[in-house]
Amino acid sequence: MDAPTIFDLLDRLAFLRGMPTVIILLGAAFIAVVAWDMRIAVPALLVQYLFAGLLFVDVLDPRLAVVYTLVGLFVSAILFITAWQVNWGRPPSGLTREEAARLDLAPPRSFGRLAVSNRALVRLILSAAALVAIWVWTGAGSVLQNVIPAELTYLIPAIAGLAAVGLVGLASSAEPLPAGIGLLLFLTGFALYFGFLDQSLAMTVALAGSQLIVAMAVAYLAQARYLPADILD
Amino acid sequence: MDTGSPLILTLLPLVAAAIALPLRSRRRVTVIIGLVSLGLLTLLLVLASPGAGLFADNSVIAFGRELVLTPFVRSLFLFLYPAMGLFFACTLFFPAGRALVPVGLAILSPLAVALMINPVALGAVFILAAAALTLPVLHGGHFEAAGASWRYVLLVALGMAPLLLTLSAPAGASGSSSWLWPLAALLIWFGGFPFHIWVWGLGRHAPMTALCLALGIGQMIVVVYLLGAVDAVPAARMSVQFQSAVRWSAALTALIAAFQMARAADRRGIIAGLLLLDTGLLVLAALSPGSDGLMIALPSLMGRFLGLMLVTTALAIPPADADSTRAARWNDLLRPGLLIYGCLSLIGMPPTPGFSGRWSQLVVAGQGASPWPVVAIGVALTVGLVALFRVIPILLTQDREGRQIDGPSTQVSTIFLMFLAGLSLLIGLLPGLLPGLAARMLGLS
Repeated sequence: MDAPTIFDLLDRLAFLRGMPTVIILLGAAFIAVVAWDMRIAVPALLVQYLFAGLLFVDVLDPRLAVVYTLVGLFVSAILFITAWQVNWGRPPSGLTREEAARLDLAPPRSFGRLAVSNRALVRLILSAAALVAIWVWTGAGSVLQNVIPAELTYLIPAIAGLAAVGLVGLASSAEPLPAGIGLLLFLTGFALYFGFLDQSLAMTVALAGSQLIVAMAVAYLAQARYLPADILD
Repeated sequence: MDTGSPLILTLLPLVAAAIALPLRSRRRVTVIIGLVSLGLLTLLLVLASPGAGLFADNSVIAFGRELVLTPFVRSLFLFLYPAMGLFFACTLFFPAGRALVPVGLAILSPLAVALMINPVALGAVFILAAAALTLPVLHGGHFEAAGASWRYVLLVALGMAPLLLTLSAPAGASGSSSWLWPLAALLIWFGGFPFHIWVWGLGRHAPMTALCLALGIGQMIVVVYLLGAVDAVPAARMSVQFQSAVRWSAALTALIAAFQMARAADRRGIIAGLLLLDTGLLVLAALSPGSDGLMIALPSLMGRFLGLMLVTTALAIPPADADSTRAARWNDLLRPGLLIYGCLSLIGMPPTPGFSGRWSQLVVAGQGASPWPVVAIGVALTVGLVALFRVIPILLTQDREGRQIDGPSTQVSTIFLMFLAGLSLLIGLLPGLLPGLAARMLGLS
């Protein structure tokens, strides 16, 4: 049996194209930002990349669009291994009170059996507010309509939503891993928009490459923050 | 694929970094590798002059993209390679991270590509790559520095978006708000208000040698790239909104820096404030298009590099006692002078290397319709100066950073310190030197 080509796969996924993809994509982006356990956040990021690939097909040549999907797979793999190495975003075990204080580890807030940090609550509220605002804003028309063709207007909430949720994610955390996920979401939204302005192979590779660079920087700094030599020696 | 000087400038630093990296535990060996590589690169650049005839062409096609070594870029690197050599030589005598030389060599490659590649927009990704490469030296094993380094990379990555929108024709030409994208790109990458957080964090927590590399030499290329990129939208750049926003951003950054310096209780707080002040005022170079902007930016950045070098070396000098060698006692004697002179240079006081750049910034700031930004900058500089003199005892008496200097090198280190001090003093006493050098780079004289 022959392996399916990109075009065969796109035909099989035709039922998802358009608005269903946008809804799943934004849902995954929302979960990637608000989930404080990286075992949920990183797979959500992967889902976001896979569905973003379906949207890139509407903007770029499918053979170029698949570059973003492949990069998304690599980025997710890098972040998954990193998250594993930093105990899925939980603090190192056996910390003294002084070490925990220097590592900026605030005690979580309890809601029954659920323990949530203040920062996670802020991310949840701001991400939800950003998505609602984007939905209302794009419903009323937006400046993106100057660039995006009328038949592809369903991409507007995807672009604006990824950018907004990404900005919330990167601005509401000082930790490289959760903030890095926010930055990667923002860059995906930006690449989707920029695809209408520059469809060259070089720019596609450059923007995809920038995501890989960010992922590696996140991986390096997440580990540096998790086991800092000057505190835990 | 063709061969030519741009390819050598791209590949040779990477090869040298790859050789130096496994040897990083042997500091002297890596420094020698660095110095030899930079000497070779400088020699190749000299031979790459249009009339020399060593290379058939100063352009090359790699992976379908053209890399062009323009006369200005060639002149810039003819300054940067020796400057990097001076910096590496400094690490031979004074403590520095083991990864400093390999990282310093490695970042030269993407930074060179960023200035040479066509189309210009692709250079932004190479700037991001260079920023990511500096992370091992910026974070240096410290918890707080890792957070500050993350903010640096985060904002470099974020700044790519407005920059690419500036350089893309439809967005760059869209009506009355077209000045917003170049403004955002400039303020994020220059570290102007409200995107100044990365500068403060790095100044506060990153090792001093890493600051010399990233905000001294590295930032010089970033600024040249960015000023060249926003020249693509001359109308937006000359709009009243853009000009006012740049002036106010510089003034507010300077005021924040002065406020931080006034409340700083330790040495790194003062240095971070000085760096923020210098970085904030550099934004003013964006007010003048083309070579006029570079004539403001280049002397300012050269002054910053020398100021940072003075402060870094001064802080690395160990205290001398009765048992110390004569050279160590000489070094200890030089330390307060170097430290204070370096700090004054970062403020831009005469007669220091930072003065010529600061003066040209103040002149261009004063050409606006409103006098208030200039007044605010004047207040900030005065407060900064007072704050500096207030904490001089702290600057001079706190524990020094780093390890002790190796014994045999102390006499050479004294000669090196005297050379650095003499060079800085000469540049400070002759304020036309750095603008003259910048003019020669730009082919204006």
